[in-house]
Amino acid sequence: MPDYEQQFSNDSIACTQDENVLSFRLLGNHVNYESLDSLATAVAAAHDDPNVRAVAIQLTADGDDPENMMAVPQRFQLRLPEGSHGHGPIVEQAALTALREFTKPLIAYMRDVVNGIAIDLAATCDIRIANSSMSMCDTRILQGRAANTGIAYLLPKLVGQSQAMRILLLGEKLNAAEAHRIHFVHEIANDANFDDHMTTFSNRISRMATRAWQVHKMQVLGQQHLDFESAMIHSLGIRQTHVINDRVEGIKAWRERRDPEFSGT
Amino acid sequence: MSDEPLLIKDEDGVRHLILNRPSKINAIDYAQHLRLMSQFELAENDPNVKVVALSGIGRGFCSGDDLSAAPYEGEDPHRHRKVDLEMGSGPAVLLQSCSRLHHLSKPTVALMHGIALGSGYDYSLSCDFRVVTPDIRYGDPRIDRALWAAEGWSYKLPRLTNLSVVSRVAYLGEIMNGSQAIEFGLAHAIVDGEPDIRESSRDFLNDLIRVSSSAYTQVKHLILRGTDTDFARALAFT
Repeated sequence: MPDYEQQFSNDSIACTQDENVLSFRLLGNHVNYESLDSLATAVAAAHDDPNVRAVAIQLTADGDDPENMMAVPQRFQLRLPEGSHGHGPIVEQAALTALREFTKPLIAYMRDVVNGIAIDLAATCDIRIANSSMSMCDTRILQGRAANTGIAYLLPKLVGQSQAMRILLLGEKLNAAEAHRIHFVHEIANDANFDDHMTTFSNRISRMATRAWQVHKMQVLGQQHLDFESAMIHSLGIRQTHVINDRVEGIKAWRERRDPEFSGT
Repeated sequence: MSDEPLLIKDEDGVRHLILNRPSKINAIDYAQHLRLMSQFELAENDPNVKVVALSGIGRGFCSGDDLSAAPYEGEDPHRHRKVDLEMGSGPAVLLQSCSRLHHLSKPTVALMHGIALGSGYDYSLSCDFRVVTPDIRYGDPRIDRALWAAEGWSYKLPRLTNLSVVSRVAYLGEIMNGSQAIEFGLAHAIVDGEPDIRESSRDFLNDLIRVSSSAYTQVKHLILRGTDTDFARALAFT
């Protein structure tokens, strides 16, 4: 199994593994290609690693840094057209796609300032937790830039089109309470004990039936664009082709009236 | 009170289908799924039925599937649809029963009090409307037991609410009370449940009875068909 800390930590992002939780923390005040590529390649490696049952991303970032995004990773070199219009958000979209395809629990810890593409990263996660003084804002529209990295697809499905337009087209700044009110943020934790809360929450999630979480998520995301009949067939197909070993422990614990001890398989 | 596991009561155009296994908080076994599916079909074809209301007797609406039920030994019309060697054709019959309810052309409403979990929650998502009591315990805790939940909720829930709420209800297994169910956009009304959920939902049911049946059927069809298509195609359905 990969040594995540060694392989995926760099000047832009810190990666640590504690028991079954793989955690990332953005360094500096911006998101760049280096941090995005580390995230993408790490979650791809973690997808089939039984020692990783949840991924947590701590986000404190004032968006991207268009003047210093660092070098485009080598693997994208053949996807960069020349010309005055520059290249598209290829690295950003690749990172969001990798996160979206990661079916194990993904938790975003939104801390202090979460702007621009950091909102995209939060939106790809299953659960978003903010500290009480967090604020979020997508300023790209105010800079005359298009938020074309994926958030225009993701956000309306999370909070509805009205709220998404308010955030993406007006560039409104939301505090933690407002982000919670519109259901973008699932929980607010106090600034003072946010570190402890992150650890406790991540550990709790990693001890859940994370394999069941995966098959739930596969169904929800896979059925986003299916009609009803196709979705039903999709559900039965997923059921036929995926195993949840933990179901045995789940029922046994229920019968014995105790908390289950899941393996994540 | 009859000891039939599913009571059928007609009242002013409302066909009440009442789960009646109070000793098990109306946990649903295989035979009960078959009864419900059959009743949905009968209600669809009965011109005297204007509204179909699902509810339960006793402490709650439904505690979910009956995990302690003995294997079903009656005639199994879905025996050729086994999707899981351990669960037999159970998932297929729940999916089919919920699908039948989902596509019923008449108004459907789940009247829920006390507890509404698991497959009871599945049936409720298949209804057009959901009425709850303030103290309801409503949701899907199957993930807490690593149980399969592949009966159609994954299509319906994101369309009834949004993906943020899906995370709370489906991934975290959070149980909602009445005001949360309203806040999340899943429930349409809160009633006190006294003297029983059917009686206290009478105003809501009367509103449904007063709606034009043919208009209701057409609009419901357009909503369901239009959910997953583009605007031009949606217009073509009219």
